[in-house]
Amino acid sequence: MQFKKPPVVEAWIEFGFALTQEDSPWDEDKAKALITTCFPGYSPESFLKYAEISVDARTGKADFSNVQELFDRIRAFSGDKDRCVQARRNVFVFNQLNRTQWFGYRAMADAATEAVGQYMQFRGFNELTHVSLHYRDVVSIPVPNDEKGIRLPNWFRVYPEVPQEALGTMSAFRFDIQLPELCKESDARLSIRSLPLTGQEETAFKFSIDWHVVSADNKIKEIEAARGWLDSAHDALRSSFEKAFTPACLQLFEPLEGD
Amino acid sequence: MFCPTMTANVVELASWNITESVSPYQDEQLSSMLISPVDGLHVGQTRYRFVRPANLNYLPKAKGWTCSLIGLTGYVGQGDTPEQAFDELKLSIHTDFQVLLRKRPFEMDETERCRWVRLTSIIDLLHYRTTTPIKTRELGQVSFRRISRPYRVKWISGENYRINPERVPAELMSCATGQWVEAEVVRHPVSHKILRIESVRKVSFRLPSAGELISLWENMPKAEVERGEWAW
Repeated sequence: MQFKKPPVVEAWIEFGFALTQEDSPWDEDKAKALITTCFPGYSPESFLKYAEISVDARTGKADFSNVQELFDRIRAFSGDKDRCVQARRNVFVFNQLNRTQWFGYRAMADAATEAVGQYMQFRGFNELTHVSLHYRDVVSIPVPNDEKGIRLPNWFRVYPEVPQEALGTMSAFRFDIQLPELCKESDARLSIRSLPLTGQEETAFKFSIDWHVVSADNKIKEIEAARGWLDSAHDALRSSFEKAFTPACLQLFEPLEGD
Repeated sequence: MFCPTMTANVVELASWNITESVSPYQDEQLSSMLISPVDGLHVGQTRYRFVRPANLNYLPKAKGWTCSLIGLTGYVGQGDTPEQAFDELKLSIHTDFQVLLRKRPFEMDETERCRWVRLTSIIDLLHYRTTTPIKTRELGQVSFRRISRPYRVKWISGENYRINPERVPAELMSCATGQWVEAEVVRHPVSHKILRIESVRKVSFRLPSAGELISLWENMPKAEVERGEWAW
């Protein structure tokens, strides 16, 4: 089933690599050089750092006297801001946003495979540890005229059931579940949560639905195998996606005729 | 088919997304997260309660630390330790708040107005105004009434204050009846009742008589007002 307005707002593919004996240092300058050398159409926009702090197990007090600031990752966006590459010491992530148009999985996977090749060459990696595929959907369900709210079973086939509360039903939630056997040698998880309403958007209830599929550790070692696994993970997610919503909800995504 | 999983696992899985509204990348300068919840700030006797709980963010730098309040841009404390950085942050917020608090809206330029809006979106201004005492400097005359020690102060506004020896400086109790004093008075922000007197200074003063007031009024120099067409 194809949709005119798919709910996907973002998808990303993550590649993890085994550190080698000759692993070169990873710092802010190195990360900038990666973007400049391998991704000239991208501009670095942010850097994530972290600090290592020791905490006294008995008192719980943190020792700030000897803090090490360490560089974690870089993030760079393409000129049109539709794509983003992120790099850590041994992790590379390719993000695709649905800002104006969604070009589909194939386009994203092709671009990600090409980009990760550049990263591997720059960092000198040749062996993967894992690969993962992630989708984030945002589903907007119109507020009914009777102002009685919505019933989740009318829209979702996977939803939390909570006891009726004395002061009314719960309107905000988040729940996470595993999806075993979604595809072979992988760990799949689904996260559904309500999004807060803002003043301008009170015509619809919004839900964020994250799909994550991660390959089992050290089962995939080469890029070609990773691409094959990504394709099968995508197909499995596609099938689960259509099962996760009721026909009424799927209509919101405007299915294309013939499907 | 389904089984629950730990939220923490999913959060880690989703950590590379770029559409999350609350992301460690939200502000490049705040990209290292050492977060501590806070519901207000104290500087000396001044307390700033926040409209809602907020988070302090500590960021280690090559030399020292910075501390900022998530959701309040433009205020960053720096110091050799996180505690010093926090103290600096408090002082920068405290100083700017006090400067802007004393300005009327028309006295603020555009940047000051923006800063004031940002500050008051975090700090509960109504709570501050209704709980922070007012300090004034006032002139008054001590009297003994029928007891042999200071009993009341009559301020030049006409208001009488019955002295509570527990809440006035000891020096006030050494005044003779009829002594004029200049006092630093702490009043309740809403009722304006005197909470305590912080300090007093004996001064030479007397109220002019009615005849002196008339004489002053009559001998006041006259000013010429320019005549002309008023155009509104």
